[in-house]
Amino acid sequence: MDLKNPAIMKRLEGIERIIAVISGKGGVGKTLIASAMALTIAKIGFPSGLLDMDFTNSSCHLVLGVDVSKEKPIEDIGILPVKVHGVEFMSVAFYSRGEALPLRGVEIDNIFRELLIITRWSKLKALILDTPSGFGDVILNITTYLPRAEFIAVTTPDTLSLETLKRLAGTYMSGKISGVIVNMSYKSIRSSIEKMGFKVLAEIPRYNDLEGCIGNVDRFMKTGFAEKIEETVQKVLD
Amino acid sequence: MHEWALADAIVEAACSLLNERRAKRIALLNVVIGSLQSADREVLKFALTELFKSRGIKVEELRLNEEEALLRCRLCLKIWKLEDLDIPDDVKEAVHFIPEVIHAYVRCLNCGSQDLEIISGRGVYIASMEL
Ligand SMILES: Nc1ncnc2c1ncn2[C@@H]1O[C@H](COP(=O)(O)OP(=O)(O)OP(=O)(O)O)[C@@H](O)[C@H]1O
Ligand SMILES: [Mg+2]
Ligand SMILES: [Zn+2]
Repeated sequence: MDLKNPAIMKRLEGIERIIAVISGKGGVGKTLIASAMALTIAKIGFPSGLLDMDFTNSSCHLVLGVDVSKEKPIEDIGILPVKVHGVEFMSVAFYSRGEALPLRGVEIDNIFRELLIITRWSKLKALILDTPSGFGDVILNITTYLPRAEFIAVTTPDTLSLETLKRLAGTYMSGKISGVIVNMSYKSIRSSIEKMGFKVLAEIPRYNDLEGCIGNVDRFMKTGFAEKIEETVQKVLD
Repeated sequence: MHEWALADAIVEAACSLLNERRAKRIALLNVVIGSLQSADREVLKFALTELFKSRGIKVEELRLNEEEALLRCRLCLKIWKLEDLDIPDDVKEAVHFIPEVIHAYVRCLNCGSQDLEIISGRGVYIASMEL
Protein backbone atom coordinates (compact mmCIF):
# COMPACT_ATOMS: atom_id res chain seq x y z
CA MET A 1 0.00 0.00 0.00
CA ASP A 2 1.52 3.26 -1.07
CA LEU A 3 -0.31 6.31 0.13
CA LYS A 4 2.24 9.06 0.17
CA ASN A 5 0.38 11.66 -1.87
CA PRO A 6 -1.44 13.48 0.95
CA ALA A 7 1.91 14.24 2.56
CA ILE A 8 3.20 15.73 -0.70
CA MET A 9 0.22 18.08 -0.90
CA LYS A 10 0.72 19.11 2.71
CA ARG A 11 4.43 19.89 2.30
CA LEU A 12 3.67 22.23 -0.59
CA GLU A 13 0.72 23.98 1.06
CA GLY A 14 2.63 27.17 1.80
CA ILE A 15 3.75 27.62 -1.80
CA GLU A 16 1.71 30.03 -3.90
CA ARG A 17 2.81 28.93 -7.37
CA ILE A 18 4.57 25.82 -8.62
CA ILE A 19 6.14 26.43 -12.02
CA ALA A 20 7.81 23.64 -13.98
CA VAL A 21 10.17 24.58 -16.78
CA ILE A 22 9.78 21.92 -19.47
CA SER A 23 10.72 21.11 -23.05
CA GLY A 24 10.38 18.23 -25.45
CA LYS A 25 13.86 18.79 -26.81
CA GLY A 26 17.01 18.72 -24.72
CA GLY A 27 19.60 21.46 -24.41
CA VAL A 28 17.22 24.35 -25.07
CA GLY A 29 18.03 26.20 -21.84
CA LYS A 30 15.62 24.86 -19.21
CA THR A 31 18.20 24.65 -16.46
CA LEU A 32 19.54 28.12 -17.10
CA ILE A 33 16.03 29.57 -17.31
CA ALA A 34 14.72 27.76 -14.21
CA SER A 35 17.75 28.84 -12.18
CA ALA A 36 17.54 32.43 -13.42
CA MET A 37 13.82 32.58 -12.69
CA ALA A 38 14.26 31.42 -9.10
CA LEU A 39 17.14 33.85 -8.55
CA THR A 40 15.14 36.71 -10.08
CA ILE A 41 12.07 36.11 -7.96
CA ALA A 42 14.29 36.30 -4.88
CA LYS A 43 16.07 39.37 -6.23
CA ILE A 44 12.85 41.32 -6.71
CA GLY A 45 11.93 40.54 -3.14
CA PHE A 46 9.79 37.41 -3.06
CA PRO A 47 10.66 34.16 -1.31
CA SER A 48 11.46 31.62 -3.99
CA GLY A 49 12.55 28.01 -4.31
CA LEU A 50 14.30 25.90 -6.93
CA LEU A 51 13.97 22.12 -7.09
CA ASP A 52 16.15 20.24 -9.54
CA MET A 53 14.06 17.38 -10.87
CA ASP A 54 16.56 16.27 -13.48
CA PHE A 55 17.66 13.52 -11.09
CA THR A 56 19.89 11.50 -13.38
CA ASN A 57 21.75 14.56 -14.54
CA SER A 58 21.21 17.41 -12.08
CA SER A 59 22.89 20.65 -12.99
CA CYS A 60 21.18 23.59 -11.28
CA HIS A 61 23.85 23.47 -8.57
CA LEU A 62 26.46 24.13 -11.25
CA VAL A 63 24.62 27.24 -12.43
CA LEU A 64 24.23 28.41 -8.83
CA GLY A 65 27.85 27.64 -7.99
CA VAL A 66 26.89 25.38 -5.08
CA ASP A 67 29.59 22.93 -4.00
CA VAL A 68 27.44 19.88 -3.26
CA SER A 69 30.29 18.04 -1.55
CA LYS A 70 30.53 20.80 1.09
CA GLU A 71 27.07 22.30 1.48
CA LYS A 72 24.30 20.07 2.78
CA PRO A 73 20.64 20.55 3.58
CA ILE A 74 20.07 20.58 7.33
CA GLU A 75 18.06 17.78 8.94
CA ASP A 76 15.20 19.11 11.00
CA ILE A 77 11.92 17.14 11.14
CA GLY A 78 12.66 16.53 7.47
CA ILE A 79 15.28 18.45 5.58
CA LEU A 80 15.64 22.16 4.98
CA PRO A 81 16.71 23.32 1.51
CA VAL A 82 20.01 25.14 1.16
CA LYS A 83 19.72 28.92 0.84
CA VAL A 84 21.59 30.25 -2.20
CA HIS A 85 21.40 33.96 -3.02
CA GLY A 86 18.02 34.11 -1.35
CA VAL A 87 16.70 30.99 -3.12
CA GLU A 88 15.71 27.85 -1.23
CA PHE A 89 17.47 25.19 -3.26
CA MET A 90 17.07 21.42 -3.25
CA SER A 91 18.67 18.78 -5.44
CA VAL A 92 19.56 15.08 -5.25
CA ALA A 93 23.06 16.22 -6.19
CA PHE A 94 23.58 16.93 -2.48
CA TYR A 95 23.26 13.20 -1.91
CA SER A 96 24.81 11.83 -5.09
CA ARG A 97 27.69 14.31 -4.76
CA GLY A 98 26.97 15.44 -8.27
CA GLU A 99 27.91 12.02 -9.67
CA ALA A 100 25.90 10.49 -12.50
CA LEU A 101 22.83 8.77 -11.11
CA PRO A 102 21.62 5.97 -13.37
CA LEU A 103 17.92 5.43 -12.67
CA ARG A 104 15.00 3.57 -14.12
CA GLY A 105 11.43 4.81 -14.18
CA VAL A 106 10.20 3.39 -10.89
CA GLU A 107 13.23 4.85 -9.12
CA ILE A 108 12.63 8.27 -10.59
CA ASP A 109 9.13 7.97 -9.22
CA ASN A 110 10.50 7.03 -5.78
CA ILE A 111 12.96 9.91 -5.67
CA PHE A 112 10.29 12.30 -6.86
CA ARG A 113 8.03 11.41 -3.94
CA GLU A 114 10.78 11.02 -1.35
CA LEU A 115 12.17 14.49 -2.09
CA LEU A 116 8.77 16.12 -1.89
CA ILE A 117 7.94 14.30 1.33
CA ILE A 118 11.09 15.16 3.24
CA THR A 119 11.81 18.70 2.03
CA ARG A 120 10.40 21.49 4.18
CA TRP A 121 9.97 24.64 2.12
CA SER A 122 9.08 27.97 3.67
CA LYS A 123 6.10 29.99 2.52
CA LEU A 124 7.15 30.71 -1.05
CA LYS A 125 5.83 32.99 -3.76
CA ALA A 126 6.97 30.40 -6.26
CA LEU A 127 8.77 27.09 -6.46
CA ILE A 128 10.52 26.60 -9.78
CA LEU A 129 11.07 23.04 -11.01
CA ASP A 130 13.85 22.22 -13.45
CA THR A 131 12.94 19.09 -15.39
CA PRO A 132 14.60 16.66 -17.79
CA SER A 133 13.68 17.01 -21.46
CA GLY A 134 10.96 14.93 -23.05
CA PHE A 135 7.63 13.74 -21.73
CA GLY A 136 8.86 11.07 -19.33
CA ASP A 137 8.41 10.08 -15.70
CA VAL A 138 9.07 13.46 -14.12
CA ILE A 139 6.62 15.38 -16.29
CA LEU A 140 3.95 12.73 -15.79
CA ASN A 141 4.59 12.78 -12.05
CA ILE A 142 4.29 16.54 -11.90
CA THR A 143 0.92 16.36 -13.65
CA THR A 144 -0.24 13.54 -11.38
CA TYR A 145 1.10 14.48 -7.96
CA LEU A 146 1.23 18.26 -8.32
CA PRO A 147 -2.01 19.02 -10.14
CA ARG A 148 -1.74 22.74 -9.51
CA ALA A 149 1.68 23.06 -11.12
CA GLU A 150 1.88 25.26 -14.22
CA PHE A 151 4.27 24.65 -17.07
CA ILE A 152 6.50 27.07 -18.89
CA ALA A 153 7.68 25.44 -22.10
CA VAL A 154 11.02 26.31 -23.63
CA THR A 155 11.89 25.99 -27.30
CA THR A 156 14.45 27.26 -29.77
CA PRO A 157 13.30 28.48 -33.19
CA ASP A 158 14.66 25.28 -34.75
CA THR A 159 12.24 23.03 -36.60
CA LEU A 160 12.84 19.94 -34.47
CA SER A 161 12.32 21.88 -31.25
CA LEU A 162 9.18 23.59 -32.54
CA GLU A 163 7.78 20.27 -33.65
CA THR A 164 8.08 18.85 -30.12
CA LEU A 165 6.24 21.92 -28.87
CA LYS A 166 3.50 21.28 -31.38
CA ARG A 167 3.31 17.70 -30.14
CA LEU A 168 3.01 18.94 -26.58
CA ALA A 169 0.08 21.08 -27.70
CA GLY A 170 -1.71 17.87 -28.58
CA THR A 171 -1.30 16.23 -25.17
CA TYR A 172 -3.43 16.48 -22.05
CA MET A 173 -0.71 18.65 -20.55
CA SER A 174 -1.22 21.50 -22.99
CA GLY A 175 -3.82 23.21 -20.81
CA LYS A 176 -1.22 23.57 -18.08
CA ILE A 177 1.19 25.58 -20.19
CA SER A 178 0.99 29.16 -19.07
CA GLY A 179 3.47 30.34 -21.66
CA VAL A 180 6.39 29.62 -23.94
CA ILE A 181 9.91 31.01 -23.81
CA VAL A 182 11.78 31.00 -27.09
CA ASN A 183 15.45 30.70 -26.20
CA MET A 184 18.57 31.17 -28.30
CA SER A 185 16.33 33.00 -30.71
CA TYR A 186 17.62 34.23 -34.07
CA LYS A 187 14.29 34.83 -35.79
CA SER A 188 10.84 35.56 -34.45
CA ILE A 189 8.55 32.55 -34.32
CA ARG A 190 5.92 34.26 -32.24
CA SER A 191 3.11 33.77 -34.73
CA SER A 192 3.70 30.05 -35.21
CA ILE A 193 3.64 29.54 -31.45
CA GLU A 194 0.51 31.63 -31.07
CA LYS A 195 -1.07 29.51 -33.78
CA MET A 196 -0.50 26.49 -31.53
CA GLY A 197 -2.58 28.31 -28.93
CA PHE A 198 0.28 29.29 -26.61
CA LYS A 199 1.28 32.66 -25.22
CA VAL A 200 4.85 33.79 -25.94
CA LEU A 201 6.44 35.03 -22.74
CA ALA A 202 9.81 36.01 -24.20
CA GLU A 203 12.12 35.63 -27.15
CA ILE A 204 15.63 35.48 -25.73
CA PRO A 205 18.63 35.75 -28.06
CA ARG A 206 21.83 33.74 -27.75
CA TYR A 207 24.36 35.51 -25.54
CA ASN A 208 28.01 34.75 -25.94
CA ASP A 209 28.98 35.97 -22.47
CA LEU A 210 26.87 33.39 -20.63
CA GLU A 211 29.30 30.51 -20.50
CA GLY A 212 31.76 32.48 -18.38
CA CYS A 213 29.04 33.20 -15.79
CA ILE A 214 27.98 29.64 -15.04
CA GLY A 215 28.62 29.12 -11.34
CA ASN A 216 29.00 32.81 -10.60
CA VAL A 217 25.58 34.13 -9.66
CA ASP A 218 26.61 37.78 -9.28
CA ARG A 219 27.96 37.88 -12.82
CA PHE A 220 25.15 35.71 -14.18
CA MET A 221 22.51 38.08 -12.83
CA LYS A 222 24.15 41.02 -14.62
CA THR A 223 23.91 39.45 -18.08
CA GLY A 224 21.46 40.39 -20.83
CA PHE A 225 20.01 36.92 -20.39
CA ALA A 226 19.12 37.61 -16.74
CA GLU A 227 17.58 40.92 -17.80
CA LYS A 228 15.30 39.10 -20.24
CA ILE A 229 14.36 36.61 -17.54
CA GLU A 230 13.50 39.44 -15.18
CA GLU A 231 11.05 40.89 -17.73
CA THR A 232 9.58 37.41 -18.13
CA VAL A 233 9.25 36.85 -14.39
CA GLN A 234 7.42 40.17 -14.01
CA LYS A 235 4.90 38.97 -16.60
CA VAL A 236 4.55 35.56 -15.00
CA LEU A 237 3.99 36.94 -11.50
CA ASP A 238 1.51 39.61 -12.64
CA MET B 1 15.45 13.97 12.55
CA HIS B 2 13.97 13.30 9.15
CA GLU B 3 12.25 10.18 10.51
CA TRP B 4 9.56 12.61 11.65
CA ALA B 5 8.84 13.55 8.05
CA LEU B 6 8.64 9.87 7.10
CA ALA B 7 6.33 9.17 10.03
CA ASP B 8 4.21 12.15 9.10
CA ALA B 9 3.84 10.84 5.55
CA ILE B 10 2.60 7.52 6.95
CA VAL B 11 0.17 9.26 9.30
CA GLU B 12 -1.14 11.53 6.52
CA ALA B 13 -1.70 8.53 4.29
CA ALA B 14 -3.40 6.51 7.02
CA CYS B 15 -5.59 9.45 8.02
CA SER B 16 -6.75 10.09 4.48
CA LEU B 17 -7.95 6.51 4.35
CA LEU B 18 -9.55 6.80 7.80
CA ASN B 19 -11.35 9.95 6.69
CA GLU B 20 -12.78 8.17 3.70
CA ARG B 21 -14.08 5.43 5.97
CA ARG B 22 -15.14 7.92 8.66
CA ALA B 23 -13.11 5.95 11.19
CA LYS B 24 -11.03 7.08 14.18
CA ARG B 25 -9.41 3.84 15.10
CA ILE B 26 -6.85 1.50 13.55
CA ALA B 27 -6.87 -2.09 14.78
CA LEU B 28 -3.53 -3.01 13.29
CA LEU B 29 -0.97 -0.97 11.41
CA ASN B 30 1.87 -2.82 9.76
CA VAL B 31 4.78 -0.58 8.84
CA VAL B 32 7.84 -1.89 7.08
CA ILE B 33 11.28 -0.35 7.58
CA GLY B 34 13.55 -1.22 4.70
CA SER B 35 17.12 -1.52 5.86
CA LEU B 36 18.52 0.45 2.90
CA GLN B 37 17.15 3.69 4.30
CA SER B 38 18.20 2.67 7.83
CA ALA B 39 15.51 4.77 9.46
CA ASP B 40 15.81 4.77 13.25
CA ARG B 41 13.20 2.34 14.50
CA GLU B 42 12.70 3.91 17.93
CA VAL B 43 12.44 7.45 16.59
CA LEU B 44 10.01 6.30 13.95
CA LYS B 45 7.88 4.46 16.50
CA PHE B 46 7.84 7.43 18.84
CA ALA B 47 7.01 9.83 16.01
CA LEU B 48 4.18 7.62 14.73
CA THR B 49 2.70 7.25 18.20
CA GLU B 50 2.85 10.99 18.91
CA LEU B 51 1.51 12.01 15.51
CA PHE B 52 -1.45 9.63 15.66
CA LYS B 53 -2.21 10.78 19.20
CA SER B 54 -2.14 14.44 18.17
CA ARG B 55 -4.80 13.66 15.55
CA GLY B 56 -6.98 11.77 17.98
CA ILE B 57 -6.46 8.45 16.22
CA LYS B 58 -6.24 5.33 18.32
CA VAL B 59 -3.86 2.66 17.06
CA GLU B 60 -4.52 -0.60 18.87
CA GLU B 61 -1.47 -2.33 17.53
CA LEU B 62 1.52 -0.86 15.73
CA ARG B 63 3.92 -3.31 14.16
CA LEU B 64 7.26 -2.23 12.77
CA ASN B 65 8.92 -4.91 10.71
CA GLU B 66 12.38 -4.65 9.30
CA GLU B 67 12.98 -5.79 5.74
CA GLU B 68 16.41 -6.69 4.50
CA ALA B 69 17.72 -4.65 1.58
CA LEU B 70 18.60 -6.73 -1.47
CA LEU B 71 19.97 -5.51 -4.77
CA ARG B 72 19.91 -7.62 -7.91
CA CYS B 73 22.21 -7.07 -10.84
CA ARG B 74 20.16 -6.86 -14.01
CA LEU B 75 23.10 -8.00 -16.09
CA CYS B 76 24.37 -11.11 -14.27
CA LEU B 77 21.37 -11.57 -11.95
CA LYS B 78 23.50 -11.92 -8.80
CA ILE B 79 21.81 -10.73 -5.62
CA TRP B 80 23.70 -8.61 -3.10
CA LYS B 81 23.03 -7.76 0.51
CA LEU B 82 23.95 -4.37 1.88
CA GLU B 83 26.83 -5.87 3.91
CA ASP B 84 28.30 -7.43 0.76
CA LEU B 85 28.58 -4.03 -0.86
CA ASP B 86 30.68 -2.54 1.94
CA ILE B 87 29.22 0.95 1.83
CA PRO B 88 31.17 3.78 3.51
CA ASP B 89 29.43 5.75 6.27
CA ASP B 90 29.08 9.02 4.36
CA VAL B 91 27.33 7.14 1.54
CA LYS B 92 25.04 5.42 4.06
CA GLU B 93 24.12 8.86 5.33
CA ALA B 94 23.20 10.02 1.80
CA VAL B 95 21.24 6.82 1.15
CA HIS B 96 19.41 7.38 4.43
CA PHE B 97 17.79 10.47 2.89
CA ILE B 98 17.32 9.30 -0.70
CA PRO B 99 17.71 5.51 -1.01
CA GLU B 100 18.05 5.63 -4.82
CA VAL B 101 21.32 7.57 -4.66
CA ILE B 102 22.92 4.22 -3.90
CA HIS B 103 23.09 3.87 -7.69
CA ALA B 104 25.67 6.64 -7.84
CA TYR B 105 27.99 4.64 -5.60
CA VAL B 106 27.64 0.88 -5.99
CA ARG B 107 28.47 -1.54 -8.75
CA CYS B 108 27.85 -5.26 -9.04
CA LEU B 109 30.74 -7.06 -7.34
CA ASN B 110 30.60 -9.77 -9.96
CA CYS B 111 30.38 -7.92 -13.27
CA GLY B 112 30.82 -4.22 -12.47
CA SER B 113 27.40 -3.20 -13.81
CA GLN B 114 25.65 -0.20 -12.26
CA ASP B 115 22.28 -1.50 -13.40
CA LEU B 116 21.23 -2.82 -10.00
CA GLU B 117 17.65 -3.18 -8.94
CA ILE B 118 16.56 -2.65 -5.34
CA ILE B 119 14.36 -5.72 -4.97
CA SER B 120 13.50 -5.30 -1.31
CA GLY B 121 14.09 -3.21 1.77
CA ARG B 122 14.10 0.21 0.13
CA GLY B 123 12.42 2.41 2.71
CA VAL B 124 9.52 3.00 5.05
CA TYR B 125 6.01 2.10 3.92
CA ILE B 126 2.64 0.85 5.11
CA ALA B 127 2.42 -2.87 4.40
CA SER B 128 -1.16 -3.20 5.61
CA MET B 129 -3.76 -1.55 7.77
CA GLU B 130 -6.78 -3.07 9.50
CA LEU B 131 -9.59 -0.88 10.78
N1 LIG C 1 20.25 32.32 -24.34
C1 LIG C 1 21.39 31.62 -24.32
N2 LIG C 1 22.53 32.11 -24.87
C2 LIG C 1 23.67 31.39 -24.87
N3 LIG C 1 23.80 30.18 -24.35
C3 LIG C 1 22.71 29.61 -23.78
C4 LIG C 1 21.46 30.30 -23.73
N4 LIG C 1 20.56 29.51 -23.11
C5 LIG C 1 21.23 28.39 -22.77
N5 LIG C 1 22.50 28.44 -23.16
C6 LIG C 1 23.52 27.38 -23.05
O1 LIG C 1 23.03 26.24 -23.70
C7 LIG C 1 23.40 25.05 -23.02
C8 LIG C 1 22.16 24.24 -22.63
O2 LIG C 1 21.45 24.94 -21.63
P1 LIG C 1 20.72 24.18 -20.44
O3 LIG C 1 21.61 23.18 -19.84
O4 LIG C 1 20.11 25.19 -19.57
O5 LIG C 1 19.61 23.43 -21.32
P2 LIG C 1 18.58 22.32 -20.78
O6 LIG C 1 17.33 22.50 -21.57
O7 LIG C 1 18.47 22.39 -19.33
O8 LIG C 1 19.33 20.98 -21.22
P3 LIG C 1 18.91 19.48 -20.77
O9 LIG C 1 17.74 19.13 -21.67
O10 LIG C 1 20.11 18.67 -21.06
O11 LIG C 1 18.54 19.54 -19.35
C9 LIG C 1 24.21 25.50 -21.82
O12 LIG C 1 25.56 25.42 -22.13
C10 LIG C 1 23.77 26.92 -21.60
O13 LIG C 1 24.77 27.71 -20.99
MG1 LIG D 1 18.74 20.86 -17.87
ZN1 LIG E 1 26.42 -8.22 -12.24
